[in-house]
Amino acid sequence: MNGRPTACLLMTLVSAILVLGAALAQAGLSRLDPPSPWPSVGLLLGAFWAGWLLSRLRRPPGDCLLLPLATLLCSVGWLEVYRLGPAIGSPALGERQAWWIALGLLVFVSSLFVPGDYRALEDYKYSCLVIGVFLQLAVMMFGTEINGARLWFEIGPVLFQPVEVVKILLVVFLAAFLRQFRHWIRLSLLSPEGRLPRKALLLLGLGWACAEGVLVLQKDLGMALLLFGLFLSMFFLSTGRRDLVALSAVLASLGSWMCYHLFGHVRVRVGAWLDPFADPHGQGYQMSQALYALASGGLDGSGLGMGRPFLVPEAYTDFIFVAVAEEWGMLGALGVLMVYMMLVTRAFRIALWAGDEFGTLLAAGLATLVAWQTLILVGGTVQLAPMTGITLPFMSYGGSSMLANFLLLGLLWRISAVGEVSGGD
Amino acid sequence: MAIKARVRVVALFLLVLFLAPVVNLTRLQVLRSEELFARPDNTRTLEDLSLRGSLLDRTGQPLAQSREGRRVYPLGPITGPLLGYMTGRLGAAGLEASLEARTAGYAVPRTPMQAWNLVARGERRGDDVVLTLDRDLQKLAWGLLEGSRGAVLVLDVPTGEILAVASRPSFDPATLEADWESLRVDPAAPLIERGTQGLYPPGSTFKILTMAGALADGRTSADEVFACTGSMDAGNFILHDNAVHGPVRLEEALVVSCNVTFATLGQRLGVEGLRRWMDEFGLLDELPLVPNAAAARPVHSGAPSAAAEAGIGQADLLLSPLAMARVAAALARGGVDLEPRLLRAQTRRGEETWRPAPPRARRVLPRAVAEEVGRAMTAAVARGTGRAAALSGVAVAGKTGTAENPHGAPHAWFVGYAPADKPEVAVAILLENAGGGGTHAAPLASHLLQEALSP
Repeated sequence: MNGRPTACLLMTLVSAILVLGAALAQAGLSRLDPPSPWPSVGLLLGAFWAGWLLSRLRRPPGDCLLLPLATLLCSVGWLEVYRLGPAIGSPALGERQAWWIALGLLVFVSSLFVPGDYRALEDYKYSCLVIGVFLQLAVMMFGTEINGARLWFEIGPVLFQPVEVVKILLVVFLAAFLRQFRHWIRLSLLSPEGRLPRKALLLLGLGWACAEGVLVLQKDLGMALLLFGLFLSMFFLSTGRRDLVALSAVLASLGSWMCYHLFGHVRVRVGAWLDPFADPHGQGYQMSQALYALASGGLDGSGLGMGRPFLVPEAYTDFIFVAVAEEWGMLGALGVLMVYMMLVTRAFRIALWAGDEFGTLLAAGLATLVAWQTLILVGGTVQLAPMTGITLPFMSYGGSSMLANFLLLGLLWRISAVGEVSGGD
Repeated sequence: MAIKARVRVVALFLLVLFLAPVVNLTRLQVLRSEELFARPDNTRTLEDLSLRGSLLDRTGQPLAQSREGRRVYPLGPITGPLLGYMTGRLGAAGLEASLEARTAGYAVPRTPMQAWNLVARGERRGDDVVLTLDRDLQKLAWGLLEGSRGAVLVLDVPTGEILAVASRPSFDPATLEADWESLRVDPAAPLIERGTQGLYPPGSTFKILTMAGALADGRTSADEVFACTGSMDAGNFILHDNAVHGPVRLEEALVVSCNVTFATLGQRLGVEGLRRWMDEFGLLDELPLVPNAAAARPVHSGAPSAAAEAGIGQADLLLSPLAMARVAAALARGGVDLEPRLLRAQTRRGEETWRPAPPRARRVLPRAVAEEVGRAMTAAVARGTGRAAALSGVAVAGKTGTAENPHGAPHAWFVGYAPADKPEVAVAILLENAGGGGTHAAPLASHLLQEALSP
């Protein structure tokens, strides 16, 4: 709690980075005649500081580093989005993203002031599951198809991507469910006469089937990986059953191997990952362009507004990390990774300090979610894994993901607030 | 509580996983950055062409240079497919693509040398590359091809340097982007450089190699007399000659281009012997100093007639005009081969920063054999099929070819060198589907050699 003045200093630092970055980006883009960044910067600064001050009003106080870290990521992401807008022919991109971030902070602040206790969520675990599954099925059936995938609802002028919310609902459900049944599952294989082994195995099978289902039905490799990573991590956290985790990992590898051989689109993705230069103008185009972007960035980057990150398709969403790596260099990209590591560490710390088991599992689950999502996306853009279409938390352009991530942040904050008062374990 | 211990395990595991992107970013952005950046399909290097070095001819005249962020080619279509192009939209091709790394400028220095240049001299421009081409000869060669499809290649005999490579049809690099769609689908393939990359059946020009190989292997002698009856049994069919040449000595057989004689020699050497001789002349090798050159394809056919047909340059044998000029140049040097080259040096402000190793002379034939073939070639121009290539006052050695091919009328060839007694240049002329080599290709050689030899 003596970190508060430091955290205030960090918020000032974030503001300075944003203002300096905006000035640099505007200068670097001068040839393209970009829209002025200052209205958006003003909006962002207002939202950041309003969120910060309001979160300080809330008693008991929560973790004071969450907001500075998240707003730093938002600022870096926004600068790249603002900078890419004019280059890809939609100059209003930066302004729209600033509004989404401001709305995200509104969600964050609102979640702090919802009366009651986060533990109440535990009683709604099946509601969470049903809503999540319903949203997912609905979007698969009635969603709008973009780029061959049905992942969005069109609501008026905006696109809503339910999966961003479904992920959080799933974490809540898993935390509550595993909290309730973890001892049964833990002991299940030790008591052969009980009916519980089947339940445990059923649960694992369900998780596995969900992940493979997403992969096969939605052709969404990134989401499948994310769901599976999340599920296994939480299963291990709650039960400590290494054998079952290992078994699932083996099954998952088997599943992936089968998918590779059964589905053309998976093979294409993997091929484009392993050797993007085999077809640099077709399947490997995005990956090879991303590699050129990384190579041209070098150690210290081209400078904001001075590089050519717009040559990589989807640079403002899936490949925002590459855009940062090109213009801020390897040093900037490592800085961003470090901020993610700090955020994740902070979330795990909240899990360790939470006053109850549900809080621990929920915070750890949310931390795993952020960690896996970052790792899968960044891994896909730096050629460590096949590229996937998931978003980078707090940085990619997109409303649904921004709002959902701030909701996640609010949840973490609430858990930390209770935890600190209860004094941890 | 055990659950919190496991939180630590999972947290540690995930944080360790974050090391993977850290390592890979270092690899991609720092360690492999230069190699990745230099790949030919990376159009990022081509977006800003203002810092790029020029391509120069042997006297330092520009052939390709950057002007106001664009690449301009002073000779236009004359050097079209040879130099290729370099634009932000279409990428790079031809020599421009092959020499990309040498001419690349640097906005951000990538090597200690570049950093030094930048700091010490404020220099960010890429190096120039000096080619062996002779601008005037290149223009002349191009002019000779007016109205035809084909290639003209001129080699400097003493050094093995390529003085001219003209190829038609061509394209105008100034309007390339506008013409791109039609150029790409044009059946005449204007984007293909024919002199070093085009592979064609060599027809009767190949007889100089058959003759040299057979003499050197002792499969025949200059005194042998061949009885030409106008046809012979080639194995699985009867090979017809263009005339009944009666009894002919070997030299006379080359003068009249007697198919029966050289098909017989082909049979004596065999498919393998002919392949070995192509290899001896270096025709199957890659040429490090002629980027993109296509290596010759020896006979692959297993037909019984293959050896006989290959002896007269048919079967499925394919060679580039450059390869034939190389054979002629080796004969001109009395049986000594020099690897052809197109790159002379790399310079920065006139100072050399790179120069290829001097050519290594390699004897492929005994001098007597080369001279015997040279005498026959000189006679072929003086009184045989190559008469149209003759010059007044200078003896020319040459061989014509009329190569049958599956794409229509035969290709017209002329391969030779001059002056016959003290050779300076070797030439190969190929006209696609133009007809007889003696009537179509040989007259061009006469013009070309006259200009090439005049000081």
